[in-house]
Amino acid sequence: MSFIGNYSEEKENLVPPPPEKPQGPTLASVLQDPKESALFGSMLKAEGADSALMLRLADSKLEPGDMRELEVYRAQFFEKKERVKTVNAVVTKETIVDFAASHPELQQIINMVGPDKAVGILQAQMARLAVEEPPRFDEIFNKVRILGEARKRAEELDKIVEERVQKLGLDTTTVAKILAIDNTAERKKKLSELVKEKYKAAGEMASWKNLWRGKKDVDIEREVVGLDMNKMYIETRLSEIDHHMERVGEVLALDMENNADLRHALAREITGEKKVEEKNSGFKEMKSSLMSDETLMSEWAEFKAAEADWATKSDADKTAARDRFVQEYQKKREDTIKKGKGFWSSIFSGMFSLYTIDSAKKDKLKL
Amino acid sequence: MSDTNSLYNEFARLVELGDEAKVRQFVVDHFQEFPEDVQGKLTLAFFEEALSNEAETTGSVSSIKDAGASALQDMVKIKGELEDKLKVINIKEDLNK
Repeated sequence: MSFIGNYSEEKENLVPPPPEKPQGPTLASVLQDPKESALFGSMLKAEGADSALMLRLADSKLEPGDMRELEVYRAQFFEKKERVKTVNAVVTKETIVDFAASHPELQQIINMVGPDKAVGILQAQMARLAVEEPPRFDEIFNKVRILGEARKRAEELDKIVEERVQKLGLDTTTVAKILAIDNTAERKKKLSELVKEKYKAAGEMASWKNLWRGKKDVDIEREVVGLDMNKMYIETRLSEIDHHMERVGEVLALDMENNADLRHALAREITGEKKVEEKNSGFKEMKSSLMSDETLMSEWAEFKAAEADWATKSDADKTAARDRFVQEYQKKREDTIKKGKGFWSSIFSGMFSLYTIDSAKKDKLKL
Repeated sequence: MSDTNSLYNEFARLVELGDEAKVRQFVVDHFQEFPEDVQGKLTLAFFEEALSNEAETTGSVSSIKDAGASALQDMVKIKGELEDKLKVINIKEDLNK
């Protein structure tokens, strides 16, 4: 290296590194974008930011020191956006169409709105969830991670299995014929039957193998009388092994990653239907979050009865108390939904806003 | 009573009946009558469930492939041992002829 080259290098080493630049968009760029700004506002609310600070931000009347506090929120916002990106990498047209192939309700929704719009809806929901309901978003984030790891493992195994099946020259034509059946219901039925049989075969094979493994050569020698019998014994076992290898290899050799029907038939065989029931738990718990005119009226009567000196209160106080009651009535139910986990909690969360307590309904709650 | 309230009341009635399948079907059948934000949340709920199913299924498939791959390996090994044994027997037989 030349003298100039050495000098430049040394000089470079002497220059202190520039201060770390904050990652992500600036606060100004977030606030200039209406969608981003709305999300940022939702996050501030969900994180319990100072309401005075939020007002000053909305009115563009920030005070000295506000920027330092807002920078913390901006960094948090950026972090959430990065996690949303990870999740949204899975929310693609191809993925949702694939998922829907084994989820009838999702399929119906996609048929109604179209896959492109469904992707848009879901990606927007992910961004909303990340800022408004972080625990639920974290659940989805974890599921995406688990799915990613499972797929990676499945790919690795595919290679191993393919290699072994090819090496053994096992026949996979039976399943290929079933996969070619056009009628979906019939195809699923046949696949399910086949998987059941093959899975059972794998179990039988495992127990036979254990039985064989438990016996030492000397035991086998003792079992058989003469040389011919010993030979027959071995030949029978060899034929059994070939049979089992065919049966097990046939299922293993399939491209399960690209066939949802087969994947699900196999998973049902392994996990059973019990898991489905377990997953649906939470339905009963959500019942207590239901709202109705009847419960609104009856709880209002209880509320009034519990208030001391209700009759002597002014109309203004009674009206304020009624507003407070309505807020509490809704909040209690909203909290139940938020505490819940899984599918039903999400459905109830979606349906919650459909029940509105407007002024006409409030007027029915007599003071 | 507004339309959304009617929809909610019908939803609540079905929930009270305790039939999960009917509630699921109701939500899908009336999907297009719901406001956009509700549609978004419902789509998310079904997607979330489908995502869980996929993660679980892929995991299950991996388990059986794992078990199957190792079973095949064991079978190949046992087969080899048996074939060796058979060879010895055949040689012994030939020698005794």
